[in-house]
Amino acid sequence: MYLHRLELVNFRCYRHLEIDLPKGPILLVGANAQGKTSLLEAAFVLATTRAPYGILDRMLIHWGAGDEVIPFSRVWGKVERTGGPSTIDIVNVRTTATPGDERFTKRLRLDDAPRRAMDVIGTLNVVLFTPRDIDLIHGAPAERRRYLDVLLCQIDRNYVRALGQYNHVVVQRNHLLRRLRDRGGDRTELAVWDEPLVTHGARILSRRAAAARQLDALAHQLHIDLVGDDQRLGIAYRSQVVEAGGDAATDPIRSPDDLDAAPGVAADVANAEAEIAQRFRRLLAGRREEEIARGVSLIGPHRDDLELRLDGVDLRPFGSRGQQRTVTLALKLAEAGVMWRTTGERPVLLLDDVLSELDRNRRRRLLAHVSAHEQALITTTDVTAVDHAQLEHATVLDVAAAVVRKREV
Amino acid sequence: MSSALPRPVARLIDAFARLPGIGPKTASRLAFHLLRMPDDHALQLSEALRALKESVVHCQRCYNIAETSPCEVCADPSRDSGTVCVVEEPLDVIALERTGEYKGLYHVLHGAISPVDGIGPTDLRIDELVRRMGVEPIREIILATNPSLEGDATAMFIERALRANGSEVRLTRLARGLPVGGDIEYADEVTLGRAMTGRSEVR
Ligand SMILES: [Zn+2]
Repeated sequence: MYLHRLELVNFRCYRHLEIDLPKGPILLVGANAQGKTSLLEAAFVLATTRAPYGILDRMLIHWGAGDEVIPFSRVWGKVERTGGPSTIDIVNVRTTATPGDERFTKRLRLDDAPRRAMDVIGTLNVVLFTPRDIDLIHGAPAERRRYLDVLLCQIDRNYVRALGQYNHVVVQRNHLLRRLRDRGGDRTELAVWDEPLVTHGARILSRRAAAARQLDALAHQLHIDLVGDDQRLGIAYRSQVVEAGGDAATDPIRSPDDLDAAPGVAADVANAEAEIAQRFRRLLAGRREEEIARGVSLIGPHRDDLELRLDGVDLRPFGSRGQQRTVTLALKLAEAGVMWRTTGERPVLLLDDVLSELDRNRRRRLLAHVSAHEQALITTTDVTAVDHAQLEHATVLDVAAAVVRKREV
Repeated sequence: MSSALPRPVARLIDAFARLPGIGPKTASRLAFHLLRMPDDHALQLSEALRALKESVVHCQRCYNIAETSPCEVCADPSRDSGTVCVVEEPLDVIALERTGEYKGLYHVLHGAISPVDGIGPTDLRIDELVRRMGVEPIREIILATNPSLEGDATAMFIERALRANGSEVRLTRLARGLPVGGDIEYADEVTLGRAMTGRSEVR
């Protein structure tokens, strides 16, 4: 798939932009803070309906939009897929502007018809590479859960729904647990929140465990391709619920062939989901008193982590800077690989300033993978940092002061 | 509000600003609009507000809002008193009445369980429903709370409360033809009518 056209109104540093994007690699060249990254963010918004890495809705709207009667930002895109083109329209409107309490409403359209987020997500698939990805390795577990969530939301709309509902249940349930801790009272109410916690939680857990297995199988070879020597990169989903039954996801060594040999992944996932729900329910019953005493939900996907090992050594505390960089690239390429295997479409790659951090060899190896994709948007401050042999057919766009111009060759 | 305003105007602006969805700007605009209105129109509004608080009561059987207790529905002998439809809000009753599909009675909870908002089962008319079971010839209870997490949790709580009380009444849940996240109030009549005829047994 590829993003064929992009239109922005009041988005980040762009007041107005309309641009046709070709297939193949696209180099966005310009000095810092000129609007290169905003273009990748716009593509990310089209894919997920949200801004990447915790950018606030307020920050998506161009500062000049405050002059308008109703401040808003708009991202519109036309996506070409095997099945034909689709258009995505995401408008973010500021609905109230009481100082300190700004509120925003998103209006989403797919092919001109109003749609819910879960119907829009997945129309465009993207994988975003940024220097911040290093947080995937030494950041908090939430960073690694988000990595899985961004991947799974784009390929499984049931996951989008389950995740939204689950997060909502956790908030409700934590309020109730806190009230029971502080003021005591009738505990029967807890049961009505346990049930949706388990149902939606089991769905999330089964999908995450399956995705971690696929990532594990793919990332190993990708990492070898990038670094050129045979270290074993292992990825495993770590969860109290999934581990409790000795699930296959806890087995650190699996051959890449397992993935292809696995019969009917969908049936597997459904079975796993029912089993996980049972275990989840049992664990919950066993820790009721502790949960009330601490006033917080202690079990479930919101407490899990993704374990990353290189030749058996945990990368989270021990990885070197160089290892962390290549491992994050392998994780991101594996994310793209899982999307491709699941949907049959190669996602659009968004590379934000990652080339400059790599030596010539690794850059060449990364670009070899990138060029297998139908489209990639690559930002760089220095066009000479890119090997021209690999990007001969690349389109070069100069970005300066929120103006984008195609460079004629 | 600014002290440059005559006190009655400022008071009205404050009163409007306390309403949901109304910010200070809208509140001022409404207040000044009323100020310019013909006297009799403005007085009609004030009379409507007074009547709202003085003449609207809760029906002591179904807890819907009404001018009398029992309400018109509860007092209507042609309604099937063996069926009770449990809803969150009075507006849900209006939506269901509009379908013309339903001939039973109602029970209005006045909300749904939501710990975040500090609403627990005791803040709703759930005990009153359990009590009705003991004194009325109820054969079926239709749980028609909203298809949201809170509505589902409330329905499940009621189911458990009734079963714990030894009740073997037939319990049904409205079929999920409703839009996701949509309240009953917003469902169109056809969808709602279908949901009512296609309701399913709870367990
Ligand atoms: Zn009544």
